[in-house]
Amino acid sequence: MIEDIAKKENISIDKNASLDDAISLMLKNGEGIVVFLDADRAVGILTERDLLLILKQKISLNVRALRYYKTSLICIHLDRSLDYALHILIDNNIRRLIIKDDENRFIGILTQEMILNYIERDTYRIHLSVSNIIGNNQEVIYVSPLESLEHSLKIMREQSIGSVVVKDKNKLLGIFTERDLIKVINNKTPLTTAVKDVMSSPVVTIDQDTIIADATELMTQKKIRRLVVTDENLEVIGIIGTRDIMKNIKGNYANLIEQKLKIAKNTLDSLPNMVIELFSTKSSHHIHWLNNKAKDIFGNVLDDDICTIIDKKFWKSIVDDINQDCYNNDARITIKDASYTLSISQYIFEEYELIRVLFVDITEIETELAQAVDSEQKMLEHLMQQSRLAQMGEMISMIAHQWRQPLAAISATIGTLKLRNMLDNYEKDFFDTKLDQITLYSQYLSDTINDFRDFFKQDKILEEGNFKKIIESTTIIIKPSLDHEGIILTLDLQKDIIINTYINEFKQVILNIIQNAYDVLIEREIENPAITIKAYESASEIFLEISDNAGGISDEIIHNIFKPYFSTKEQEGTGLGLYMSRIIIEDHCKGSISVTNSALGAIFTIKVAV
Amino acid sequence: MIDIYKLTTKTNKMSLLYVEDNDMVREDTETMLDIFFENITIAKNGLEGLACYESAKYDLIITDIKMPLMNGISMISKIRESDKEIPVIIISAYDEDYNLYNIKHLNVEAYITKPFVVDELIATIHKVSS
Ligand SMILES: Nc1ncnc2c1ncn2[C@@H]1O[C@H](COP(=O)(O)OP(=O)(O)OP(=O)(O)O)[C@@H](O)[C@H]1O
Ligand SMILES: [Mg+2]
Repeated sequence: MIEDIAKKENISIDKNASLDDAISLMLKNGEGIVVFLDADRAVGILTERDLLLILKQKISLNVRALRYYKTSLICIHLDRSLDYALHILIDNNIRRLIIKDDENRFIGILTQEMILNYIERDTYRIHLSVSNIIGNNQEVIYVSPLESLEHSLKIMREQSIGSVVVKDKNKLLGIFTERDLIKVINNKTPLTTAVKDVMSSPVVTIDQDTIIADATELMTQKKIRRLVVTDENLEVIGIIGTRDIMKNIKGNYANLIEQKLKIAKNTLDSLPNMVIELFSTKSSHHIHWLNNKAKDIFGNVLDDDICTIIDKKFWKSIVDDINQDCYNNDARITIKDASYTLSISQYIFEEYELIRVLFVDITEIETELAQAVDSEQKMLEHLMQQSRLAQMGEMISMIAHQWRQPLAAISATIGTLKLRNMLDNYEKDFFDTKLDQITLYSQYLSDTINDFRDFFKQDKILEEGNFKKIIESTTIIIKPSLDHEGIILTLDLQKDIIINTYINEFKQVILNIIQNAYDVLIEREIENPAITIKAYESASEIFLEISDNAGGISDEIIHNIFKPYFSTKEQEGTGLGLYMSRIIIEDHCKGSISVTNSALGAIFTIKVAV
Repeated sequence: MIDIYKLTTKTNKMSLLYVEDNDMVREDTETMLDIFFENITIAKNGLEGLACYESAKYDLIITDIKMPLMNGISMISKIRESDKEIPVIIISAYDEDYNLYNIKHLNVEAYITKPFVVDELIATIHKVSS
């Protein structure tokens, strides 16, 4: 459709063409634009507006245009609807679009005028007259007929307007527009020339009560883009251009414009957040507007599918959510090292829908969050370290217990040998046996050291282990200490339970709980002190129960024992034992740990999934 | 210098009550004490030791402190109620810090820490036997 009305003849020129050639072509095509091609691809445009600058800088026209043309092009695909093209023209405040095909080949240009010529008369809001739409127009700027061309151009540049009206004592003589500028340049007219010699004359004026459709027809007829509007006394009250008329085409688009005005695009443009508007059809979402910030980040992505800047799958999941009305504005995306959540609003019109995407920058919040998590992590590591140190202290006394008897046995055996020596009683076999025995004892000492050292190895990987073995290898370490205090340790372990866990951490938990029971059994001077460890498994969980007969934990404190630094042991305890145990079981092993009182004492129960 | 030959001839005539709960330590220590004493009675805790003491006559008691059922201190206190004379040697671990006043009160010959150096034991036995 666009393809039908797009114009290709006399529009394009090779990218290496001179300014001179480009301007001649512009004059020839009467569209005020030239498109530069690299093979069949559009790479730049030069418009009559650019000529103002070229003139000002007194650039020689023999040079290649390359340096002066704009390379950021607004292109749309030839399949798009006319309505869509209109959207883009108005929303982006531009006059022309470049049309390309699937292979990005240049197809032609589409200007506001072409669209206005094309559409039916009844597409305009018939009841509207010219006076209705020039309200917020720029003031008309006048120059006197003898004013130099140079000065007139300066005014146009400074006021950023496309024309000046030439007036002599209330008499309208003519108008000088950008279109005339092309001629000026092409004819190499000196800038000292009076404006009256280069202006278009007579001025085409219309009465303010003319209806828009007629105004359009007049412009088409006269091949001009502006009309000077006068009142009943023939006083000039403004200038009306194609752009103003465009904005007043009847139908959805006009409604949309109104809507858009309401939601103030200017505001969106000045937002520090990126905003993108999408024009959506059944199968695709094209970017039809983006605010300044978004342009900064994404570059020129106008008319591109949204999926050129956002991952396809990601976008699809958002669209699915939107369609099911369950999108929570929480989709997260990372663009150029920054994190955003996408806030999306949808505007549905009769034939199409608009989606506005607001990118909310959450990088800072996220970094703060990460820092908080990080410092919490560090804190935890610190506590872990503290608790390990405390446990190591306890281990030293366990080692002492572990070693006491074998060391006593060694010293007794050495004593025996020494006495025999003193008595000159050397019986070779006896000496051999005793020396072997000492070797055996030292081996035992060395083994226990290894047990303890292994215990404090950090394990950061999940391992499979036989549950019974894990418990036994833990109790071996504390057994001599328990024996020493006459504490009976009973193990009731179901065989062949396999657990997948951080084995050493798990052992530390078991040891912590036994150590606590040991402490309280001694502190309360319990008769026939006993600790029982039970392990069994159900279909889905492994249970470990460690119970004692020390009388249990009072109701006042039982809720606190898993809290950090809670201890009833004054100097002796850090109060981290159970806290760390809970972290290990709940966070690392994804299980649970709880405590209850039985008639005899406390029961600690650990549950982990099989 | 203690003449070890002379000493062992002397101690060989003495009867010893040796109280220790740990099997490993007790066996090895007994092997060593065998060199001094021909007649050794073994008890595995304070209660057994007390029973032995009440049923026979001994020239010397060597005992550990930390033991199940009845510890060494209680056992000696009980014995001291009727017998202020019988020499007692304690062989116990260093880190078991018992009330030293109690131990002094019990009037023991020596407090030897485990693990021990044999010369200390020889010297103590020498003192007791003379
Ligand atoms: N089996 C138990 N019976 C009675 N009270 C207990 C038992 N286990 C723990 N507690 C109570 O819970 C408190 C917290 O135990 P936790 O292991 O966290 O610290 P702690 O043992 O006091 O210090 P640390 O573990 O550093 O030695 C203990 O001080 C004790 O009062
Ligand atoms: Mg503890």
